[in-house]
Amino acid sequence: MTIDESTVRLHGELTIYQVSECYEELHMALLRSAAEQSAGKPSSLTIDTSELVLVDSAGLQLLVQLAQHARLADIAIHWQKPSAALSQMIDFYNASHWFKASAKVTA
Amino acid sequence: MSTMYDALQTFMAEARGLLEEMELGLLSLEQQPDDKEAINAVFRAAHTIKGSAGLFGLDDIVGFTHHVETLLDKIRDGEIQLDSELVGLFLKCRDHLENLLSAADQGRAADDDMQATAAALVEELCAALGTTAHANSAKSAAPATNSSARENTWLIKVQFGLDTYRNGMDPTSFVQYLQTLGQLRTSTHFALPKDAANFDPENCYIGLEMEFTGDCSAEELHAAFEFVREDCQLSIVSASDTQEDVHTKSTESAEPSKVTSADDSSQNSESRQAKTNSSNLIRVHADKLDALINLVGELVTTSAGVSLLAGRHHDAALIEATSDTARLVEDIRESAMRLRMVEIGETFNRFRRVVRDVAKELGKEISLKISGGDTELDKSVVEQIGDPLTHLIRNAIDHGIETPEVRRAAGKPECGTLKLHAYHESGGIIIEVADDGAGLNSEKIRAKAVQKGLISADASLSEMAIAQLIFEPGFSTSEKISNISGRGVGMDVVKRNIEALRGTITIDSEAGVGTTFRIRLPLTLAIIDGFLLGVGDANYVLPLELVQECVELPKQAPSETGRSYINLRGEVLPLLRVRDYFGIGGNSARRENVLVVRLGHRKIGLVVDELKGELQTVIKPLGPLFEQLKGVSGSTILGSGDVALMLDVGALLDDIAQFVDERI
Repeated sequence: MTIDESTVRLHGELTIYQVSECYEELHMALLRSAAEQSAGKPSSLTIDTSELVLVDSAGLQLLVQLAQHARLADIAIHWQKPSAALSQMIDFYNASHWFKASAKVTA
Repeated sequence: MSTMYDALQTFMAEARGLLEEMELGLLSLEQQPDDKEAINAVFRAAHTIKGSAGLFGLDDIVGFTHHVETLLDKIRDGEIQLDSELVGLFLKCRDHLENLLSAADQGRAADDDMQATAAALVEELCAALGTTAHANSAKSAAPATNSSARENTWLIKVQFGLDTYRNGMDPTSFVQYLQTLGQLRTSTHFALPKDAANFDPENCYIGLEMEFTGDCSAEELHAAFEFVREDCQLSIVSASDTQEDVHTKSTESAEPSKVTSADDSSQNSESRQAKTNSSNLIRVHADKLDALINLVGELVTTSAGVSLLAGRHHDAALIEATSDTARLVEDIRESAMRLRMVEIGETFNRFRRVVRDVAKELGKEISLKISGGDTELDKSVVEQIGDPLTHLIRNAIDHGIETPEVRRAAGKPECGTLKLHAYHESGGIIIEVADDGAGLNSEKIRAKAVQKGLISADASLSEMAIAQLIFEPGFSTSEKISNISGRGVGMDVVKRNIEALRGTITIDSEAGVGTTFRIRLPLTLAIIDGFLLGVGDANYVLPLELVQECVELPKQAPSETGRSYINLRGEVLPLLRVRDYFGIGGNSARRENVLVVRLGHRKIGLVVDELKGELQTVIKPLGPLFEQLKGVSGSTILGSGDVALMLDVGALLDDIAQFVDERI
């Protein structure tokens, strides 16, 4: 995972083995974004999942949790085009609404 | 990764057990095609194999088993009548499954041969179903059966337990498995905690609601969730029938709570019961048990030494303490030996298939009757008795039981009976293989023995001695050589194997009525309760279970040669003077004792100087130098450090019998 400015890039695997570490960093990024927003800056968090090669249920769950949390906290997330591995998982769980609706973004 | 490997190993072991169950069920179905319980057992076995194989992604097995299961289901519902042809087909399928499992175990995919076998079997299965064969894969198989008869729609709600990921499970695998069974529509509910601070990314919050359409019962669907049943909330409801067949809890709650047993239906609690039972078992490597038994053996010897020393010091408290220890050592010895005891039933059951196949091949009708399967004996004995028993059984079917025509002509029922019976008798175990066939043809055996040069043409032999000839190497009387038996190797090997286990084999045969082979085996091989006796300076031990009683040798008893007899309460008891038999010099003691020992139905009195009483005996084999010695079968070390020889009562009895034969 690489974070630069307001873009988080996830690559490689997002499975039960990585979710704990990933969770912390993603939430830090989300909190930063929230802080910027509350400071009046127009801000959004961009998440780029296009290089994820392996996602399991725990990985998908993490992203859904992030999306849900962001929605409740009214933080905008811009989801970039998901990788094939993630798309497959999203389809599997019919979870695509989480990855669209919150993209109310000024990209 | 290694847990996955372990899980696969567990699956393999379980699947093999299930295949055995399946075989047993099928064989009993052949006898009683209406046995509902047996059909269910076969079905369950197939179903569980399919379910578990699916979790491991063994698609060959899933696809193939699916066809087997479909046909079994129709039989279970009474739509198709089971006959012996179908049982034969299922048995072939079982064998194929075994091959598939072995292949999977070695990490191989099914090769072309196996796929051809599978295709042929699937075709037969489909023909029996009355449908046409479709491509041999699980995915195409499922819709094909949907169109047939019973199609159910189920609403499945499942909330996975928090630990699901940590236990190495992924909800996707269950969904994927269900997709192989039928059509599935899924919606997901992430029961995430409201407060983000409570979110643990390694917890599983996934809940699924599925609409499943396919040819499955609620039971089968429950079985699909077998691996997470302990830890999830599951409700399976028929869509057509709003009646719920399980108690459900709301899956809407934000924090999934662990399920209690109240959530399970009765059928679940049944399998849960079975699970608890199996969780009471520990799988232990046999080597560990052997090491324990060895140590216990040393302990027995050492503790005998301690008792001896204590006795010498005439310290009452010390003697008391050592006798307590000795008692405990004896208990430990017994418990340790019991660890190795297994029931012989499983070994017996294996023969059902042997009997069926061999009988079919030879065109004979034979029913196998098994009794005493719960008789326990040492694992190593059970393992080694399998081959000799197989041989005896094949022989009994091939040579013993006649063809239906011959039997009808002889006024016997066309279906021959083969009995396997096990029971305990004075510390040993007896295994009987009895047939109701023609019995041994002593004329033929005699002629053959003369022809083979085993006996001279004018030798006079008792019936029993003639029967014993069949154990001679290179002996076979079958006119035609079949691939079942009759190659002339066998009976001598059988006898050798049994003797290697310190056992004996005897034959009872009556012309036209049948033959019974009686195998007598010691319960254990390593440590026994012995009886110590002294002759001059020498010590001898024999198994306590053979000792019937001890009497004083009457003064007036005749004692011309080594062998004689006494009158034991009106019964003639042959005597064997151990002093003379083993050539121990010196004068006999002033008062001699007779130890009455019994082996099978033969009795003999051993004349000895001194009776030294019971003794726990760790049997050590004799070295190669002394192996051929007649009358002794082993040795043991006494507490004093002296060596005592173990008497081979069987050999002594044979010796006496031969002597009597010669006299007559």
